Amino acid sequence: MTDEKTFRLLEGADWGGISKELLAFVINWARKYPTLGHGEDPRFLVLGVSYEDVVQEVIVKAFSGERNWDPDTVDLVPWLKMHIKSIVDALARSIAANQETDLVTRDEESDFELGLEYKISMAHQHSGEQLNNPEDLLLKKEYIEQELQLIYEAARDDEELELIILAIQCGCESEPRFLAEELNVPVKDIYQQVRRLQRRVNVLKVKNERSKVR
Amino acid sequence: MSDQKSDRTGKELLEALNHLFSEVDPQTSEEIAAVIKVGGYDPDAFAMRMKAVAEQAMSNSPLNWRNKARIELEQERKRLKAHAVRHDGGRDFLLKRVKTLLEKYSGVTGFAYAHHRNLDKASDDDLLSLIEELEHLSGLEKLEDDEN
Repeated sequence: MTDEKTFRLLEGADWGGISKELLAFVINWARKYPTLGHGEDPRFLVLGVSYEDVVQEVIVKAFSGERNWDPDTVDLVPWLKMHIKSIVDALARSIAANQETDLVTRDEESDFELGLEYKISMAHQHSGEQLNNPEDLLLKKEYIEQELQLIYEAARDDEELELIILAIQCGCESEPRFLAEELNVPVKDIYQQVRRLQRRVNVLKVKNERSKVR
Repeated sequence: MSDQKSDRTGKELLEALNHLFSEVDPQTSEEIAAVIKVGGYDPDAFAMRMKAVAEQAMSNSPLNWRNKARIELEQERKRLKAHAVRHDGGRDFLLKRVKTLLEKYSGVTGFAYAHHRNLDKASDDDLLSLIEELEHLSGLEKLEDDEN
C-alpha cells in the first residue's frame, strides 16, 4: 500500500473513539506489572510517564511513519495496541531492572516538547528512590489490602467469581486457559466471568472515588 | 483444585488477579469508559485532546504527499549545500548552477536575469541563497503541476 493510501486511512480514522479504546487498553495492560501504576495519581504508569503519553506516542508515530503501519497486513487498532504493549512491556522490564535500556535515547524526532523517551529516562532516575522509601512501602501494603477488599466485594455471592479468586489464591496460573482447565469450564466462560468481575470492580472504584470527593 | 500448588500472599494474589484482568480487554463502550474513569481520566475530554493530537500529527505527516514534497525539497537543498561545500571548485559549481537555473527561468517566467548579471561579485553565501530560491521556485512549479 502506498504512503498516500495509508495516510488517507489514518486521516479518516475516528481518533476520538480509537484513543479511548487505546487508553483503556494501556491502563488494563499495565495492570500486568506490579512495577507500573499504583502511584498516588492514577493517571501515571511511573513517575512522569502517564497513560496519555503512551497513547499520544503511538498516534504521533503512526502519522510520522516512524512506526510503519501496513493496512494490508493488520487493522489499525490491533496494530496500535501491539505498539502500546511493546512500550509498556519495555518500560516495565527496564523499571524492574532499574537500568537504562535502549528505550532511553535522545528524542530528536518527537513532536512532544518532552518526548516519551525523555520522560522514561527521568522515571528511571527516580525509580530507585521510590522503591527504597519506607513510607511508600507502607502505602503500598495498604493499597494491596484495599484493592483485594474491593475485588472480594465485587465477587461476593457470585459463586463463579469466588471460584476464580480461590483458584488463583491456591496457586493456579492467572490466565484464562489455565483457569478453564482448573475449573473444568470452557475458556469462553472464564473470559465472560473475568469481564464481569472487572466491570464490578471498576464500578466500585468509581463509586469509592466519588464518595471520597464528597 | 490441585494440592500441589501453594497459597499466594496478598501481594502475590493481587498481582495474579491484575495479570488476569490485563488478559481480558474491555470491549463495550461502557466497559471502556469505566476503565478510563478508574485510570483518573474523563473519557470525552481525553478523546478531544487526542483528536487534536491526531490533527496536529496529520498536518505534519510525511505520509501526506504535500509534506513529503516539502521534505524532499529541504533534503535537496541540504544535498546541494553539501555538494557545493565538498566540490573542489565550489565557487565554479555554484556559478554554473545559478546560471543554469537563471537561464531556465528567464525564458519561462521573464525572470529578471539582468539583476543577476554581476554574479562574479556575489559572495558564495549569496550564490547559495540564490540557488535555494531558484530551486524552491522549481519545486513550487513542480507542486503546481502535480496539483493541476
